[in-house]
Amino acid sequence: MPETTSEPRDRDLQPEGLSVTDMADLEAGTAGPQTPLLARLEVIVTALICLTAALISIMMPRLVESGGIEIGRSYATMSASLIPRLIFGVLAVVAAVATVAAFHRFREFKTVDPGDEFDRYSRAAFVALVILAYALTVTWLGFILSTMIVAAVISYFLGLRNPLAFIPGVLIVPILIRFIFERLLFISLPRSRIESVGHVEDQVIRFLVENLLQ
Amino acid sequence: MLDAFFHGFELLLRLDIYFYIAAGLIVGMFVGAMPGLTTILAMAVLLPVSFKLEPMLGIPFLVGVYKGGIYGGSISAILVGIPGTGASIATTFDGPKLTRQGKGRKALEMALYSSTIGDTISDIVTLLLIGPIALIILLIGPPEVFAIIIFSLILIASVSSGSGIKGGIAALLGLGLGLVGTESIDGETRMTFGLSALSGGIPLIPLVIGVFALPEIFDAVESRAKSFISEHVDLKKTGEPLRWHEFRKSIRTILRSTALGTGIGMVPGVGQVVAAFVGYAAAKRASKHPETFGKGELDGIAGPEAANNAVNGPTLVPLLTLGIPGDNVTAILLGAFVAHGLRPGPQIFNEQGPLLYAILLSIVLANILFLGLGYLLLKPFAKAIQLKKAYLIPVIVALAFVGTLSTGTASDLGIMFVTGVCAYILRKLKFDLAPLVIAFVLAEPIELRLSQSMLYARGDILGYLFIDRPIASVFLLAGIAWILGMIFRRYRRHRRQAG
Amino acid sequence: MKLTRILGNLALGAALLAPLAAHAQYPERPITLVLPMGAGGSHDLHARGITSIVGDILGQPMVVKLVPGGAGMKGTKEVADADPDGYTIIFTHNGFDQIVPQTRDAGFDPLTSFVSVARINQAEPILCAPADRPFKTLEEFVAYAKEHPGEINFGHSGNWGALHIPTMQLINATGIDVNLIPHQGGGPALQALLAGEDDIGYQFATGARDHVKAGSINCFAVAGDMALEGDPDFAELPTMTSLGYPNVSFTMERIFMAPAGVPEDRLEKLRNAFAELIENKSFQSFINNIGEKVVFQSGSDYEAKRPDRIEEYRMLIETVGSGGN
Repeated sequence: MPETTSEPRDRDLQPEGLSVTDMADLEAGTAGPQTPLLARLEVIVTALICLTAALISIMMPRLVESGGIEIGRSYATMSASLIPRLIFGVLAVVAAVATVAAFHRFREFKTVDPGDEFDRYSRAAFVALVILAYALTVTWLGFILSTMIVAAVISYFLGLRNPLAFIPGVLIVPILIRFIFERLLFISLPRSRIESVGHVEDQVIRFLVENLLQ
Repeated sequence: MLDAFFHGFELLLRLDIYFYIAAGLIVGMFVGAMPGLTTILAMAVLLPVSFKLEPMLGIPFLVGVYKGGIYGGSISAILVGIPGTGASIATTFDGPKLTRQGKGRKALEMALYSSTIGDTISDIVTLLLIGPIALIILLIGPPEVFAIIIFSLILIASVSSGSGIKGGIAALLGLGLGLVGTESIDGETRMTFGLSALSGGIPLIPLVIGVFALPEIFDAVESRAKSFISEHVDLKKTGEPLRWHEFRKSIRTILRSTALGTGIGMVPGVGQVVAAFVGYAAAKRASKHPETFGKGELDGIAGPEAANNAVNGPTLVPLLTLGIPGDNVTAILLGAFVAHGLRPGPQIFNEQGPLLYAILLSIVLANILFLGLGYLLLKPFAKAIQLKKAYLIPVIVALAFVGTLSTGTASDLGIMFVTGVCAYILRKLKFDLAPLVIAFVLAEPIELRLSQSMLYARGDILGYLFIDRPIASVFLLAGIAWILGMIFRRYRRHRRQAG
Repeated sequence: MKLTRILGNLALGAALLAPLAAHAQYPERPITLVLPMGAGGSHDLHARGITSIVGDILGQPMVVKLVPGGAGMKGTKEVADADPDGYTIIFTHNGFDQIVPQTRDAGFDPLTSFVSVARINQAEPILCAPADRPFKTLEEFVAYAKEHPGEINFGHSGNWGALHIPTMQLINATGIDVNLIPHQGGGPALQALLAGEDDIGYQFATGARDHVKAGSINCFAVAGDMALEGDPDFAELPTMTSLGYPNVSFTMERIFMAPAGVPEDRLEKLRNAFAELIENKSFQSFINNIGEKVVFQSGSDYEAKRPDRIEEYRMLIETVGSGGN
């Protein structure tokens, strides 16, 4: 199926004409079919949300750092902790309900082994790791170099094989982006901390500036 | 006053004004289409450029950037599901689905026409009614803003799809996240866990990129399809323009959204994001087939797009009549005015009437240019989306990073990544994240306005509300009535099912 | 054979790296100017005009980077942590530089983390009220406030902001009991005054000018001890000092700072660039256009008085706040 699983289904959108079981489903907060892996995941996630929210709500006063002023509080009956406490408290309750409903759903899939499903998400996980690496190295390697590497990896991963096809996306685009944004839009992008690389970057940008802007 | 108006008209008979407006529109569309780059940033960067131009050229130029930016945001929202600006978030509900069905060009055209119509009508209304609007604005204080925000949220919630509980969780999460950082009344910092990256609160851009861009990227990678467009769609049809009969069905929606957007434009701190959501919600409520919304419905584009552009007209009013900018965009425009020696405020219409009217008129006329340029530019964009994902995705990722780095530090990248992964997981679990974003945006205004209102009320809340602030009372009561109506309707339906 | 190859490679490498050894001319790439506030305020406006001119003086563009949030601390910390190589500086004011870091654990010490580059100008807060209020002078206001404790809505632009400090100074000096209303910036505070929701508040001359002329606002006094001479509309305003309140003295100063540790020659070059800036004709007309004036003080002079200021504000914070940190 080419479709992703993030499409809302018909039944979710029609307030009229819902059957009783659908209403019960909706109210139990488990709209939509789940796969075995997702059913397990849902229980974990909702439980996590519930516990974290409860924790934050209880510990709220500890999480407020001072730096404020108390004059002017005489008529305002809300402290800085009140509203966040309320919000996370309600969140904890609602998440608890969702956890119960998720657990209900999970029971259906208890016997099914989710093992093979991991593959489905492995592609996305790989790209996620690439992006993480990108985020961690962009200040160190500098924008141009790190973008080149990431672009090459992602393009290859998505099926690009012809070496010539790499040139525009991987080599030209990062330099172009840095040039346009830094010199035309005055948005500064990280320069490499590695001196030799940074030096090359400066030369390239200077070359472009002299030839294109003057 | 009338002859100032006509004098102003004369000042418009120069070609270079339109050249600069067009330049601004193009730059704005480009910047708006980049995920993470805000039009505010572009305007701030181009402000010195406008200094060097005379006011008759420089100010319409900046306004062009602004208008173009809103549409640019819609382009990326429709084609790749990544809202280029906050105002385009509501466009992501139906836009990408339409693109996948090969109707990308139709969606882009609908967005263009809705935007220009909404913008034009709202600009004309502003021009004609600037006096009365100024008076209304002075009546809108913290209690009114609070009441209007709550009412808008109720309206939006009443049409949201999917599980109520999951939507509730998303909204509450958004509210909670929106309150991280420095508190508005006391200045105390909350929930930052010692991270200076969070001391200013969770920055919006990395959050929006994380919530929208990254999951789209992950989804696109997950599916093995070579391009963004579904494989069973006939590629020849993807360039098909919008037909008149398709457009005609949405005219009502456009007019309704324009009215809503114009009204919301008068309320400080609410802005385009909320206007777009309210426009969408209203369109869905009024539709004869609400179930098609969210699955590729052109009306679902018209609704938010007309509203988010209609906000533009009235937001200029506090700037022009009081010299007080209502938001960052008008603050930059104020800078442009002031640097040229024009001082918006009570005196300016007396002192510089013709020039002011000329500028206002040029803003109205800019919409026509907007229509033309937008139409020309949307074809290449619609074609570009047909490129292989292997080319597009690295570029999108790089631009997402640029957007985040442009207004933040490297730690914002961390926020973007964490948000992205969590958003992806939540989406897989059928959580609708739109309530999260809108709650996030509104969390601080809600708390601020509530606190301010309590301070003004000096403890006597009901007295203050009903005696001093009737407008706020009206909205709050309307909101309560709406909720009761919703509960009643659900109850009746339940009884019908059971019986 | 192998040896010559190795030597050859080494020589090649040395040749490639040779340019690095040459002493770099500062600045040889754009300088980042951090603004610890959002777009569109008076600082942003100043910055846009300044950077377009000082870039020419230095030979490299100066690029504005907005980092709002955390009462100015987010952007300030970013510059405090940046490499002190002269390529990152900050444009801020004395509130963010000397006051706010003392009210919380900001993660840096203002005195040791920054060094002054220049002060461009300053802005004096003026006490204003809607024209229809029963009090028309400072004395009348203080009397009225004492007769109606807790009823006066005193608006300001945000905690520890430039309009909040003089507010607290006035409250301390007079002992009046008012209802403090925080707003998000001077603009919304002004709007509240115009709408009549606030009974009194401070504003800067640029914001208040037209409304005074239009008759919707009255101004009572200017904070500090120097009258606004030469100002077409406010030259007659009495100063707080002359009215008997010498402690109501806060003035917002717009300052350029660099992280401590920047090499002497680079700091010198920056300071000189700003000294040159204020002589520049287009800069002067720009400042004039935006309704401000140039009140320059060199980096070294400003740096000399910073410690005293920090101490003065520390005492203010103690009397006012919840004890700081």
